Amino acid sequence: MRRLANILALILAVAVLYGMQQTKPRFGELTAPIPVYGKMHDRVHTREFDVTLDQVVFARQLDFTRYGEKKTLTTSGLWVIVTAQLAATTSSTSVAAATWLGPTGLKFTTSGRIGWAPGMPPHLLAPGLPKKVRFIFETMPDQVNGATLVLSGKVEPALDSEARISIDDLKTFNDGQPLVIDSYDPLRPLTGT
Amino acid sequence: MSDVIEEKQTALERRWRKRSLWALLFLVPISLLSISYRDIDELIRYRDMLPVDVAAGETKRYGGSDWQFQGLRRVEGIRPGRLPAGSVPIIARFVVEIGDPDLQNLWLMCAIKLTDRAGRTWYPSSVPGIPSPQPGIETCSSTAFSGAQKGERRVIEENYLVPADVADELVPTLGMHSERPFYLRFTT
Amino acid sequence: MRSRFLNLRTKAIAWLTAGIGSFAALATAFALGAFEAADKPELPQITAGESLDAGKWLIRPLKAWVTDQKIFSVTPKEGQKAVVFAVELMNRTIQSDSGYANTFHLLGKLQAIAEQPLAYLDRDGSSLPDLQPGMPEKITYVWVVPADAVPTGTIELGIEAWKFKLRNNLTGTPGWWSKAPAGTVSLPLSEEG
Repeated sequence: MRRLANILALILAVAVLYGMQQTKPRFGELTAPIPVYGKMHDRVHTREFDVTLDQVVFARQLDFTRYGEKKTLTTSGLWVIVTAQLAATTSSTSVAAATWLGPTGLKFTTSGRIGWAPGMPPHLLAPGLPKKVRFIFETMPDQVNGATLVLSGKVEPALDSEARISIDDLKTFNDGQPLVIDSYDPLRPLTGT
Repeated sequence: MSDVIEEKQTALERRWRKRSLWALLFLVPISLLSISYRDIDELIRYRDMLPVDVAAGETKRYGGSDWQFQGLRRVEGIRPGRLPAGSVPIIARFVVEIGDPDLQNLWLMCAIKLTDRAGRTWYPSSVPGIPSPQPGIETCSSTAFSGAQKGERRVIEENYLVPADVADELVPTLGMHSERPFYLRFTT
Repeated sequence: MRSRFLNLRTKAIAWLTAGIGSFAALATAFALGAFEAADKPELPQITAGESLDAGKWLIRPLKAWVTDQKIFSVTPKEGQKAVVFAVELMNRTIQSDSGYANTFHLLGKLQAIAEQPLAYLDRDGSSLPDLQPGMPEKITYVWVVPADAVPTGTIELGIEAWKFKLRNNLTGTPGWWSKAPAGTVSLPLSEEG
């Protein structure tokens, strides 16, 4: 009887240790920030910054005039323009990393094709001085419903504050497809500061 | 006979087992500390943790040189549209007498921040439309690389953009890697 | 008589036990040697219009030509020509990536003298932009080479691909490692401009 109990205890110990070894979080998970989840129009509070997502607009192309030259940026999918308000909490900080996380896990980073435009990242924030900012992404129409906007201080290493805001307030048609406007000017000024 | 010996041995065993368990109370923290003391040291050296208060007008030695805080002043004359709403540009002014001229090492990671009563901090930032400083007046990092000699008196100015409602209660702090965790906290 | 048999039996067991290890070593060495000597699989060669899976990118070469006129923001100087290669790339990873500058390299005479190419997005001429996951885009590579080194007839390009590893050895996060040749592209080279 004693021997059986010993053997069972041994098997149990092996099983527990094996389980612990297989489920040990990897380095990336151990050093990842603890995200703060929120919805659109909520003031999402992370340790370093507060963010409120105001509006998400979809456009087929971006039209603007720079240095007297007319430019049109087309895409095979959609342009997504997100306007938000950012504020630092207790200390001057910067928010440089914005990602559009699609419902299937695809990550789209802000588009670099536009060049300089008002309100684009990286954003330098100071406490008490909130800013209205704009993030522009290029994505596919099926990556819109159920998407999340992920904001954090920097891309690598992402150690501190991370805000994940679910995109739930979209103008859609009855079949769930997002309402897409034909053209958007990324150089238009952000109303209010 | 053997019973008595056995009893003595078990008693001895028991005593030493108890002592070992008590020793754990001391050994576990010591081993944790010995593994991580270098990391803790690093952490402390990169933060402003221990303030050294400097009275108004007092000169304090920091980073090998003597620092004196001259004051905060608002910048007038910038067109209101250029600055974010509710913000006020402020310049912090210091006079330094250079002691040890090895500024590139001693003044590494020099940061002059403004704090309010609630503990929020503002780092220097670029202020659009601010007039250029007079020649010879530079920021802390620029002065460190300017080749200043021992005995020279330099003026250091840093620009800030702060909310208008806290502009009057701000207090500057000075921190450098060579002196951290100690940092200077000036009173206006 | 019986003791003789027992002696033989134990001796045989001892010999076999000692021999198994060496047999195993010999067999492994033989097998490895045989694999080494076997013919390596041929790298695929594709031409215009055919698709190939090259690790991070799904490539479909389109056209190649030589010109001495300005192409995007590159103007070949006197005695130089621009070898231009148009290809459709699709990002097969889950996040935006712009690491396609070194996917193609010129083979043959030009391999030693050609430098890293410049890559442009065909849509708007932006330089090496992020390619979004799942969205194919036409990219144009430009190599500036001495005019006398330009091949005639066909041009061959080597394709380098990264392999996907679910958990890398350093941080345990997924990534693309082990760059290796994945094939070659052979296209007719036309003279334009």
